[in-house]
Amino acid sequence: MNSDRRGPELTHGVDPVTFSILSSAFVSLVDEMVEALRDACLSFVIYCGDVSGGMLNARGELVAQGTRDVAVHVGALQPSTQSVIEDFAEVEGGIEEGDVFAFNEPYRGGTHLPDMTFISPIFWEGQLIAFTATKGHWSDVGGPTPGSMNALALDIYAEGLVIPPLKVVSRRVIRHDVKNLIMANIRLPVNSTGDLIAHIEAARVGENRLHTLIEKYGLETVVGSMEGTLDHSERELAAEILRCPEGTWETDDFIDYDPQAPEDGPVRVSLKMTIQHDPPRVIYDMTGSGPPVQSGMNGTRGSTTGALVAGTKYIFPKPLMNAGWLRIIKAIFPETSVVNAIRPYAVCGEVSGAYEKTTACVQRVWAQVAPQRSFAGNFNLEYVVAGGVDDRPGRHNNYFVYYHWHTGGWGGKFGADGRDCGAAIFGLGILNQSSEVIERMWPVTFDRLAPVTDSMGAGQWRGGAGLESVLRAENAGGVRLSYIADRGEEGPGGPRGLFGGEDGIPIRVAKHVGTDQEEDLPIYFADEFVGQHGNFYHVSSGGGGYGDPLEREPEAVLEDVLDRYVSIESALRDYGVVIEVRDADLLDYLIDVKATQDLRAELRAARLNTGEKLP
Amino acid sequence: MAEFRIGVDIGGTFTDWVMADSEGGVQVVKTPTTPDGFGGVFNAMDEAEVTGDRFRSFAHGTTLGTNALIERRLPRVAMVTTRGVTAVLTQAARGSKEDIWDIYHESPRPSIVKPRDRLEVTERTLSSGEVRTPLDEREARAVARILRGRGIRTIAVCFLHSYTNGRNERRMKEIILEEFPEALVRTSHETIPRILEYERFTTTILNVALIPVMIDYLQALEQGLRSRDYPGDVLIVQSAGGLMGVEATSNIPVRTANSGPSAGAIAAREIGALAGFENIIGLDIGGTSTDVSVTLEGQLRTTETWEVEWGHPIMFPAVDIITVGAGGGSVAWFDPGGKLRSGPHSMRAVPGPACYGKGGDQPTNTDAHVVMGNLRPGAMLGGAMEISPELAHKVIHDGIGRRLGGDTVSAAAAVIAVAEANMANAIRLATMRRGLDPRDFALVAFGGAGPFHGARVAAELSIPTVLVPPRPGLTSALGCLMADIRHDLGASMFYGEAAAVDIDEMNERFDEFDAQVRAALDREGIAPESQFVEKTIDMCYAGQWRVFAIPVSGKMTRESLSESVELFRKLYLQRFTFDLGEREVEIHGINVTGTGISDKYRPQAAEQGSAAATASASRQVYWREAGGWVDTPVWSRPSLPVGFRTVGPAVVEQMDSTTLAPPGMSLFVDRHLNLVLDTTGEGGGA
Repeated sequence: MNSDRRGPELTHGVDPVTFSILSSAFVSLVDEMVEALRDACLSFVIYCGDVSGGMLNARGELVAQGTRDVAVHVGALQPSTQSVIEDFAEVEGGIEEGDVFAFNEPYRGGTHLPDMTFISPIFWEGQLIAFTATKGHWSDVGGPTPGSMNALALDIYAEGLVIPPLKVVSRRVIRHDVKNLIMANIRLPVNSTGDLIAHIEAARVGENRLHTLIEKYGLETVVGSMEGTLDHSERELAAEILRCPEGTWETDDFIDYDPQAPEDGPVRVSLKMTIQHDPPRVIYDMTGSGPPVQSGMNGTRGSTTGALVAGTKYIFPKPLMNAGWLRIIKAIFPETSVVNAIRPYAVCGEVSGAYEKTTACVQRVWAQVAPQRSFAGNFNLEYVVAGGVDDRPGRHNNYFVYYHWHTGGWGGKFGADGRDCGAAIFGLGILNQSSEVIERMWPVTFDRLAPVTDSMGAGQWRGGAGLESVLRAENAGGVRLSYIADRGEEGPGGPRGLFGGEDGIPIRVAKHVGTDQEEDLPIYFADEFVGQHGNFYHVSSGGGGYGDPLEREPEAVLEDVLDRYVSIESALRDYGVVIEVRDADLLDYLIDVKATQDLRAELRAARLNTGEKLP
Repeated sequence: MAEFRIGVDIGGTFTDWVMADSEGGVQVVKTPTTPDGFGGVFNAMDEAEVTGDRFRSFAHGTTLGTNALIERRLPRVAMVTTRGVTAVLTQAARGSKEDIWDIYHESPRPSIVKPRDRLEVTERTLSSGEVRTPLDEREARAVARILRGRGIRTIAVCFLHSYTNGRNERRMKEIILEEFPEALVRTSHETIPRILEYERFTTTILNVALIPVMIDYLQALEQGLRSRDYPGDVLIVQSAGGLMGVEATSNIPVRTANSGPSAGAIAAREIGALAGFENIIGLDIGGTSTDVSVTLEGQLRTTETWEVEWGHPIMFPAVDIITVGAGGGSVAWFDPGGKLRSGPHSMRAVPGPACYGKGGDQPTNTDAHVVMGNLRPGAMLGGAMEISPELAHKVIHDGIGRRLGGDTVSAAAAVIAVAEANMANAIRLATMRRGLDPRDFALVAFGGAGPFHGARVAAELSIPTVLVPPRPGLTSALGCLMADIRHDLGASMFYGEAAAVDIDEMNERFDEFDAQVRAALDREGIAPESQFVEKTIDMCYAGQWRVFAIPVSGKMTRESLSESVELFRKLYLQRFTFDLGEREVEIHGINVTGTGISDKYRPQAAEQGSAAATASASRQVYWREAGGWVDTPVWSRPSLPVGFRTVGPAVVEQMDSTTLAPPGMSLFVDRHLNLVLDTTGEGGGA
């Protein structure tokens, strides 16, 4: 299986129609595996799509990922599989037909510990042909806090159970001792056993599907097409890069602070991008990023590489992403830093911390090269995780673990506003959890779930709206809440605007709102006790604006006022649009055209022109 | 007297009329669609010289709902919702995106209800069904008056957890109607009492928006038919592939939103089955779009929740159809990068392609066909539709050829190649993306433009066999005559475990739905012995959300429920390897489907002919495969007998379409008068 990277358009001896069919079939194989996982899983988090899958070649290189898979997982599947190969390939009876390996070790290709990966070899007539992998966010993987998102962890050992490549299924038989060891260390062993089985089911679906393809098309054709897809993706991305100018561009972003050392101030994530044509390469150099922090905002080499690759995919959405991309995209890391922390630094909040900052840097650096493909800053991912006892009638006082992700505002972009209340950049295939289902599954009630006026950065194309929610515990005992986010009020600010657009608002969290015990909370905490009927308030950021707000059409500002995205005050202050309300119930609003012209002229004259300008 | 069954398909461009007599004979009329939508029906009746008293039934597929939703030609709709919880619609598609990587691809579009028209009232029902906060009636009245003041008559009432208790929604509706009697109000629990607020609210909103659109249309159509002496019911093809009467349609028009394409899918399945195929791809190409359906092992693939527009789900079952904007009227254009593109916008019926001479000034696929010699100017509708070759040449030359350089016919060939790539992609999505290999299928190519492209698109995907039915342009109309009447009802009903089920409550709900579907079938004139009611219970293991619908029958008892649970465990093991036997089985809801068996139309086999037809003429046709003009025999389809064989290049002309057989492709006429093309070049065939 040699891969001739400079070969002609020939796809490893496979005719074009078969190649096209098989390269699509690999993607649908992964989609089918993920579908089986979602069908059979016992946790709502996985059902809602915090999952991904991949098919890899015998060397552990990613051939195909699913169409709706989580971005952060994608970069991780390849090093995870290669860790299995590294540990077992040379061992007698190490990798055998019908095996399934569990894995979650962050420093060797995992993301954070709750992201459990299951990797399985596929054989044909005794020969190792490929691997499949599925990865899902489990409700709990042990450690001191329910949901295993321990904001107080000083190292990995306080974040839960670390699983190196571990054979849980040997020649199609579950190893009960191994399974029991895992389940003895986590909070929801019954549900998690169901999820473990769902991952094994998914592996079986992938194996059957690949066997069917081999029976139909022959081994050589299938393996040839696997190699061909990598070459094809490499060529497609190379063609895109050759259309970009050569050069070097830089940017940076900041994690608010190290929760263990707030006095040290913001933690820098630094990115220098070099584009070269011969050979076509995008080189991302992260030298200059700050040292690892003493809490779980660190990224690992695997997840940060995933952020660089996924961030690039947002700029070039069309080429199929697989290991072929890694022949074009090269990453340079400092010895150890917040974006490539090594054992035993904590990592549970990495997607909120280093990962999110890295993707934001990729957006900003590409904005300088391709302003009409990039976009202003997005809301930062938040983790809300709680555990307690369900005291509702008929629920048998079961222990529960609640995990909820929020939507928020996306950055404005060339020619269009950002998305209102969308999923986070780490996975747009994810569905937000229905509040009707949440209220049925867990002893909680939403008192509020609404888009937030003026949460976004103003701009010629404004950011999308953030979301505010008030979640109340109802008939729940001993609820302990953990929360991990970034870009909060005490940090350097909300999602950044671009080309003169303004920033979105920072995140704010509080508890017991609307009572005399109302209290603001930091954006990073663990094990906060919520009383019987206590509530938790949060507001996610709106997106950053794109372009000068004074260039926005006054009619568009009026539309935003009618739809309560923008207040009358913000219209006046940020956009220089004077709007008169005649009857709010009947939506009778009027733009004062003359006053608007005068005000905009005045604002333009008065302000110091510090904003970046559209090129 | 009442000897004819009528099938009518009203598309954006043409109204197709099929009249089947009791011997299996068929009369057809094709007439332009009128701006009011239904005028073509009466024009067809005049042309066929029949009156309604000779109709036994009247079944009808329409793209009215689909087009209204896609183009958002809908009334302004307001929503009244639970106070504080206004983000449900803002989180469009539950936060997800159609293309998860292309940030500039703006899909989903926002809800049709603008945020300004989402009004809040204080009320709250919990997941248990308990009303924690009764509706604040003072606020409710104030909201009703605001809606009246704004003049928004079409209103959806969407409260959290109403699927489990609709009391607050019902009261809200009453109050709106008291304050604003002219309003049209639909609550979410009466539309579809199922959990998942984004999906339920969206279904409710799209449904209420379509009611005025469909009622006006259906009433006018029904009135017209009455005045022409048709006393019976007008049946509409619904998205799930069954028929439904006017009353039911007026109540749940959103179920007919994919009516036209579904009728075509039914016809493709039946035509393919008669020719001996179990796996069939339906390729329906009309004036504006290409619709692809898949029949696997004799069953049309359906989905539980579907959408006309991505991210705007409709919680009713529907035939799974992939639609792309590629049809005869699709416009060819250059994107900013200078790449030639085709569609999705089209010139529609008016003004239509430039060659129609009605003021169309954009190059379309039909214009390109004229330039390439595929479409003879006198061939369309037997010469009833005038075609101007000069206008076709001019628009292709000016719009495409000048920019590409080279001659006009090469430009026309490029336009067709780009359009056919789009059509092939639609088939890839419907098959390969779902793990199906198109080589295992036969392609049924129909719609006015299907026979132009079927052979080439099939060859591109290595689909071995193409069937072109006898009246390609009227296939969807024929499909209307091949469907049964069908009604679906269902509700979320949660029981943590089967043992906790309130059997009486479940039976009550089943009986209620049973009575509703039977009453609807009665009204549609289905005799009790032809009514079939199927019931299922949605089950899964505790913690799961993907359910299996387990069939049940008769009155439920503890024993029969235990048997159903055992059946669930058995079916689960057929899909998965691991037995979760010890785990509790949960119940998530119930479904009832009522089918009214109608005597359907079946095409009759024709007799073996002499197989000695001669080409009526020949003409110069431009073949991409041959790299230029080839003198090509032209056959008249009505003259081709069963058993006729020839090898391409060939053109087969008939009143409503033209079939192209590229060089080297063999073609024969089967006993149901289908043209069967063999794309493998082996000259065999079925």
